[in-house]
Amino acid sequence: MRDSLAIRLNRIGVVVLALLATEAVVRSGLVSKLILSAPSTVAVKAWEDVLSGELLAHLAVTAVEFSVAFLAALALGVGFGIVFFRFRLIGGAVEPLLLAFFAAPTILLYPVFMTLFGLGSAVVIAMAIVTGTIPIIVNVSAGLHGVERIFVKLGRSLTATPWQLFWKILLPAATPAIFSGIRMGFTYTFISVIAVEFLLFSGGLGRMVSWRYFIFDTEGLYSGIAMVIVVAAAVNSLVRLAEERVRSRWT
Amino acid sequence: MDVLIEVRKVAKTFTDPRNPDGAVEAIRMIDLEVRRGEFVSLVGPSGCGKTTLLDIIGGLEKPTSGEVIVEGERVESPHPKAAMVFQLMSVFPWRTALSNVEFGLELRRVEPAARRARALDALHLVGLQGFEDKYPSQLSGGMNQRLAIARALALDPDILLMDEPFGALDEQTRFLMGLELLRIWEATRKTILFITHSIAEAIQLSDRVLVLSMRPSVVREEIPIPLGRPRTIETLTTDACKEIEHQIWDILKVEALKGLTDRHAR
Repeated sequence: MRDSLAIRLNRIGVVVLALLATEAVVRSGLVSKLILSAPSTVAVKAWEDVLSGELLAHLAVTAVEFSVAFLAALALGVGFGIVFFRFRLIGGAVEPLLLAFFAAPTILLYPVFMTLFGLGSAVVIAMAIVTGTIPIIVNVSAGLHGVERIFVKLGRSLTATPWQLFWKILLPAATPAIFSGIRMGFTYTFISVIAVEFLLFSGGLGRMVSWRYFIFDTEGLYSGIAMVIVVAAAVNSLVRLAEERVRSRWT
Repeated sequence: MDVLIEVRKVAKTFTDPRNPDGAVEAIRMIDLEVRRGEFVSLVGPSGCGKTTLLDIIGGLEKPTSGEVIVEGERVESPHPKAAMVFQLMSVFPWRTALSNVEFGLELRRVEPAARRARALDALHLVGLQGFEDKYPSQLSGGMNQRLAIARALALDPDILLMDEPFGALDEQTRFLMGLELLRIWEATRKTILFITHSIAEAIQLSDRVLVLSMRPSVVREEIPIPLGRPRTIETLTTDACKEIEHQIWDILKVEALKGLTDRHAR
């Protein structure tokens, strides 16, 4: 269901209020300008970042790394999800392990991945794939398992072939669950890309933020964080929109 | 009239390979025949193996012993001579009404133009013309069951196997759907085997009612329904009708009570 206009206006109000409060705190001198920047000066800095092309250069790196990682996570996640659903001896054994593994932050594996993939984009992508694939696998498999038994019974009574059963019944019936998995995988891939960029020197929005942090460019730091938030929110709402479209029909 | 469905000494016991003591005897021994064009209902207490019997006739389950013969052929697997309609919501929420009705034809690789025409005919027959492009979520429970019936009819089977198709509907809708089904049956002359636990519904619809016992089930009694057709509210409120209802209820009461005490004993 869509939020009402009042709720959406309130949401904007909360953001405006938070910005105004921050502005007031910084201007009053209560907090050092090295720690917190006024939203107005951050906005100016952000605009300069856009004009100078610095933002664009970093954004391009992030976009490429994210796209490659997400597409790979999608393919691997859906593929393994189907395999684990189909072959229960494997899926039943592996899925709980994946869930347990998923509960720990994969960033802890960064040293291992670094030695394997070096210090460039490859390690960013590799780690993002691992992080993004797991929720997709788990949701695809669970979604296929959760398909109403009556649908399968109907398919059998209509003499559906195994191929038809999968493509015309199981897969469409599991689509909402699969979409939830894809959205989770999407979010985790993005977080992983930014986080690993932050640790490396190979560029991207994460690197832009960490560099500015090192050189005490506080305004630049917040400008970078704001960019990450804007990009994340924009892409996430696109995925949500697609998901809502699918869901509205299924329920 | 020729016999379309023959159930010969069918028994079914469900076994669990991991738990040999947990075998459940669902059907002890059932013999029955349904003639072409007949409307036969199976009535029995809940959990009496009605659905299992229907699944065996439809080829979805194999009997432990005995055999089912449909149109002279032994049933080994699901077959196109019969189409099934279930109690649970079985229409696909991601397909429009028309596309749901086309589904069975699509599986049988009927070409698009032909299947569209047949689906439209079936939708018309169940009174859903004008709702072709609606999704199941936009239709009522009764309309969704009509959709399921249309999907079965579009396949043009000789037999409809209906497993409490109106079980989830409220009483009034259920009665009206019964009248609709009779209209469709009279228009198409399909052979219908109908499961219900509603005595009134069985009498409203059938030529014959078979009363099943509690699990493991056998046919307790076969009761012909000598009421005229078409059945109307008038024929269904006569004394003759009341008497049949009483007769069935007397048999069923004993079986249903057995079921209750069984459950208490456990």
